[in-house]
Amino acid sequence: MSEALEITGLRKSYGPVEVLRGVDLHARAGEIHALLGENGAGKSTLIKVLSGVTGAGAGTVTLGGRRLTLGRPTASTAAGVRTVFQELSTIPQLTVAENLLYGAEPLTPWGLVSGRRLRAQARELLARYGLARIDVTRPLGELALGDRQLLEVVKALREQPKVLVLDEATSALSSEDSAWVLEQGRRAADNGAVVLLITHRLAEMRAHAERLTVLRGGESVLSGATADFTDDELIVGMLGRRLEVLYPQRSGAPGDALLEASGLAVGDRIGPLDLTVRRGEVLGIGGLQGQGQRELLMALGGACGSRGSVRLSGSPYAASSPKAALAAGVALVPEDRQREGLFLQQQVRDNITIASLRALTRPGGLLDAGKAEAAAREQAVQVGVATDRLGTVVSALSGGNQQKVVLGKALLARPSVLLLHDCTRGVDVGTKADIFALIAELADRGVAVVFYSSDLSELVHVCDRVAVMAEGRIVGEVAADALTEQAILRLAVGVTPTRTEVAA
Amino acid sequence: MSRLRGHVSVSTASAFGLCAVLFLIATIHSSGFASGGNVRQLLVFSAFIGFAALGQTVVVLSGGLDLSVPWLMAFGGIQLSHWAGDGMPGGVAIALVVLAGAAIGLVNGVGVAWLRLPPIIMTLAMGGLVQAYLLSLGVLNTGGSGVPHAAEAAASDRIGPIPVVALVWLVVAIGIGIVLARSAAGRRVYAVGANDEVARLSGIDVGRVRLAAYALSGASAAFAGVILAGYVGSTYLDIGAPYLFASIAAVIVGGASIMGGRGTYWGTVAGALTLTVLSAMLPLFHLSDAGLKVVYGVVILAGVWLSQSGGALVARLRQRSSSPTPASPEVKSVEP
Repeated sequence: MSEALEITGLRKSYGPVEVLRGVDLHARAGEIHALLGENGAGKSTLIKVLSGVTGAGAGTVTLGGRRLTLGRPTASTAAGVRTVFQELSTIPQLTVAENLLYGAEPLTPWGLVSGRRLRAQARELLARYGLARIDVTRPLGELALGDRQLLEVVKALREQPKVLVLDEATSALSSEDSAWVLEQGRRAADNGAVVLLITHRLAEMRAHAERLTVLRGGESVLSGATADFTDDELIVGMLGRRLEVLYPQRSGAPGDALLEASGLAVGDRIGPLDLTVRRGEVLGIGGLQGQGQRELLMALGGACGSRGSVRLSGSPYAASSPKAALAAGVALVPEDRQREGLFLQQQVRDNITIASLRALTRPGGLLDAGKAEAAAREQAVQVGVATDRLGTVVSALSGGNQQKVVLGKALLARPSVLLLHDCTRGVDVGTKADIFALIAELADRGVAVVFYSSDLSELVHVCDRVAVMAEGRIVGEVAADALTEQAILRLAVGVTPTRTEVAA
Repeated sequence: MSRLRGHVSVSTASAFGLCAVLFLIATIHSSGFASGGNVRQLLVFSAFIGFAALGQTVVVLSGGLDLSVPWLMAFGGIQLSHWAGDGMPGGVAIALVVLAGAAIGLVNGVGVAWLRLPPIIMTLAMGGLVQAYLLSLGVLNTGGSGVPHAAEAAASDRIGPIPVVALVWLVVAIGIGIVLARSAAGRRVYAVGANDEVARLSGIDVGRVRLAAYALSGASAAFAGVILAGYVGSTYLDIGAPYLFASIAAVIVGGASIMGGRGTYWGTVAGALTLTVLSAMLPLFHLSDAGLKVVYGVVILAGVWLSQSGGALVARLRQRSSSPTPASPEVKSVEP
């Protein structure tokens, strides 16, 4: 059995901080190998070393028996390493065809790019991967986020990689798109590639990866065949401790209606929608990706214009701006924490207090520094960010901690309605458990929570009730006693339940 | 709230440091440079840049740029002469000119914040409009008599050894420094400059912040024009021309990011002093006109590099040392 990819004793420090402390990873050609670990465990750094973005302090990487020169992107590319990042690396202003064949454009005899052949080759490439529906002449920026992610995969597969890294490439995708990406991963493996799969979804990992390596604190702590480990063992491996509960018990029962929307519409594609959220209730929003969930949450949070009427505690609520929404007690945790949620170059404390400046200002306009510090500290404790991190620049935090800071900012505004847009995406299992515990605590205190997640099992376990959206409308609701992944999916894809199921 | 000081203070310090070094070199070369009269002169000239760049600092911090500054300075002087010529009392005329400057700046803000015009285009166009208006007044090339006494007094009076302009500048700098660092308004300016979408979603009225920044820039540029005209004793259309570059360079030499979200007004103060000392000392070295311009440009680029990269470097070091690693062992003094 040949070990196609061998990583041995890899070490890497950023200044005095050692992020990789002896990582070993052995993966075979033809296998999907899962790389697991919490945010901050060193997965991203390992991938950066592998793809040549950064060098290493010690250790070796061999690919098919040949030692890889580290720290040179060109060396890694030449050796056949291709990475699909969660963050998009395509150029939105260029067309689909130009992006797909970037750096490999077909030329005319005069040395100019042949647009006709470029488009033809791109169409052929897409057809090979079953994506002929995508128009290659459109600017990439006009495509849906999911499609753009799929194109990243096609781009990586273009030259038959020897190592294909899927770095949380499915975290933002709907289940069908995820399935497509994983199917391409399998095909690449069948063609003899090593596929490294990085995911926070254990079920996805179980279904697709034959073997796995778990990183914790920059070291490889577990490795072997997937079937040899239970989920509990993996979680202990990742966290270094046992996770007591992922989904907490809820005590309170929902109270009276707090937020009532009727005839809510955004643009001419979304709505009209009717929706009610009660005090102390966690209302899930389900459905396939891009069915108007984003617009619904943005509209309720005042972040995009909408029509229709919304009442809050029985009085009219005009969500004309995020400012108005926050003043009325409606806080939104937006979809993209890096672009919509955080001032990445500012400190944790400044990020937490920015949405609540009014309450922290003395008469006369100056901030009450002591009060602001106390508020930031209290909020950090509530969301579980170490208080000695208050002065840290947010960009230096792991993804999980960044998400907690966004939550802290929203909660400091003391909302009575909390809108959560996929707040567990790309977040490790330990942080997820913390976030779910927080949601339960808030609901038990009477906060109405609207929770959208691309992960079905989260919807089932976190929510009291799930409203399912399709094509901009709410197509149905699944009540607590019937809340299963199948029930949500059926509504999402428009399958009516059979009679026996209705009876049951 | 002094959170933003962290590495900004490094930039500010490096700008003040550069200024001190230049001053020292000039003094060593010719001792008269440090004379009371010359230092007073330098402070007054710095104050012109300091006021021209005051609103500019806030505009840049909020992620914009104001290229109408030189024309608002011309407006400040010429409109003042015009109104004073009509018999308006000097003090009232100055106040009205500054208010009018704020109103013109507000129009810049409307263009940028509401019509979403690129700041460079909006403010350049506004400069053109102001220029056209000034031409239409027909009071250009006013003699010294046209500038009211109040403006001349503002520019040349002293309290003890210190020029009044410099004192006013100091008080304003302290005020703006406090507002930027310690008020909710200041935090909103930084937030809008750092990422306007995050700011919007955090409940900040982004448009209002921009309007206020451009209005302040209009007012401060008009005031700079008033004291400049008072000092020169006459006004002309191009009086503000050198300040297009100076008002931006002072902000950037002072360590602010041209992309917004980072910087301080104290940095701009240091930048204004640096530019003034530099342009005052270079003629002492008997350079050709061309050589002078080259040295001027190179020193400013060096200053910008110092304040921009110096701050980032220290921030990186701090970021590292704030991670949970054992601190470097401290040398303990041996007990006797």
